[in-house]
Amino acid sequence: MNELDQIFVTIHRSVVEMLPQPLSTVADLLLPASVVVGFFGLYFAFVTWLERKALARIQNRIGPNRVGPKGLLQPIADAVKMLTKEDIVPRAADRLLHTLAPVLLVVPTLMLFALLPFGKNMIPAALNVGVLMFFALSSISTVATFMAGWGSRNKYSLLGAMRVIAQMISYELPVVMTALPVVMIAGTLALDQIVLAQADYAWFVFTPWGLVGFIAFFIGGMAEAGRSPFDIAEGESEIIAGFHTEYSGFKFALFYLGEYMSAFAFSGLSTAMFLGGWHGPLPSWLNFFLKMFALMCVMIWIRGTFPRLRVDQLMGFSWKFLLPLAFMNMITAGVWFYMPRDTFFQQLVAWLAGAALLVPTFIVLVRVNAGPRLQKRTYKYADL
Amino acid sequence: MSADVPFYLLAALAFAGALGAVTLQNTARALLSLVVFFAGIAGLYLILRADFLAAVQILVYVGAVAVLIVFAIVLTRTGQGKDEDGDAAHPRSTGMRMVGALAAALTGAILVSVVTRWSGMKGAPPGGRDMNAEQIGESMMTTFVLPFELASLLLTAALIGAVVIAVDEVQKGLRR
Repeated sequence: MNELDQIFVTIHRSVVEMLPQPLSTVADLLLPASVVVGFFGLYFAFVTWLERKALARIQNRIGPNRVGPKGLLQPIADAVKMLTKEDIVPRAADRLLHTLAPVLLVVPTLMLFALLPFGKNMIPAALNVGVLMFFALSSISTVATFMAGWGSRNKYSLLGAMRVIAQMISYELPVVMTALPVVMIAGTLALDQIVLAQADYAWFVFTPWGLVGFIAFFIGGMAEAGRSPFDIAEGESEIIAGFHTEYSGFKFALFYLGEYMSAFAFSGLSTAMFLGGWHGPLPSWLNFFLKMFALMCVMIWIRGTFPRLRVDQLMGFSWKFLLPLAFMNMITAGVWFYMPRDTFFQQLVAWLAGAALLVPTFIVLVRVNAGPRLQKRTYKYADL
Repeated sequence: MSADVPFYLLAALAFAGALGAVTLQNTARALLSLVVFFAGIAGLYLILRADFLAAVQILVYVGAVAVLIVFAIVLTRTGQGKDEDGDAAHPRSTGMRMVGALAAALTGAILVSVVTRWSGMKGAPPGGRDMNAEQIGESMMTTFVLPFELASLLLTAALIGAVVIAVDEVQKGLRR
């Protein structure tokens, strides 16, 4: 069990020890990076297939079924198509910014994976400020989006880019604020330490503040990654795909990749922060990956279920609902921290205290945010 | 010597970014050049083993200040005195040049005086890498609690000010 658990660590160590000195340092750095990029590249291909298939089933269609068994090779066909397509740059566009933008979007997103603890001793870059660095790197994509929108010289692109920026800075706040209680309770910003603090099924999601925090964090993360239903930035019916209107071929593929990668990274971060990371019955990396995959499936499910939000609904949801809830959640975490939780009875009391703080907040926020009440519709003929 | 290579690379990157930010005519490109400069500085912090500072540098400067400038660029693009590229159409006036030179001279004087007075690092930084964020947090809550509270008061005042301005506009019927 333990050998299986540490199999990747063992392989990594033996490869590094096998090589002579200057090469071994390079291999030490390059090996995890290439494995992460390669694995998540394949995972990306698989998830696009899964998403198309699942959405198709939700909409009572069949989905891709031509290339390979059950259409499994569809992503490869798509990749070939993307690579061979003509790369069009509008004549009036700022060529440099237009070309650089997709790269600047994808690279920081890939760097996010270096911070995730994929298993016991399996964190590529164990920074002691991992959580903070994650948010810092994910905020770079705002600038990349602006570059894309501005460099394209298209009013729809610029409008889309402005929507993305407004959405990003609005949702960054609740996401960080819901992540804060975890840092408070675990007492560290290092992601591996946060996971270690959740050993023996003491996952943070099994606490009142953790449950609320997890749901709010997950929703905020979905908005940060620009997943549907928070994808007003590309609203095809309003601003014809927004900031990547003018992109074609491989550059468009990079935007697509970046969007999925940040969704993966956020599902990974939610797993590490709230769902106990690598803890569980299976080998640690499998635990982590399965939890991550489950979250991705939930994202696909939500995409198939909810319609796209309007701009004012999107902003209102972040500022008037998620943010106050996150503040109250922080207070709840503080109360929880100082309550004794040794016996079952004390646990119950702590849970009730948490609920006493959070449930009224939730109800009040729902009431305050409810739109104008519509009059009951009366029908002249249909009621007969 | 080879340990200094990353430093020189990052310093060159930051320097190129800073140079671009003040010389490029296109506002959007100048902004992105400024972002390169910020990233270079963050890299330098990483080399100095100040992880926390590096993360905050990216979070605040790239994630917030640059975005603020983005808003400034897009919202002030009224078409007056600018061509469609957002290039500054006005040739820089002598008065502006004077003010710029004065500001640069003052900042330069401060930097030079700091560098000449600095007598080199005495030993390793206290606490080492793992203490970074903890130490900053602790000193903010103990030694520097007054400046910290004053800063938060200032931010709250700014926040209320922003709300007041926005509410005033709504009441005058300028918005909605």
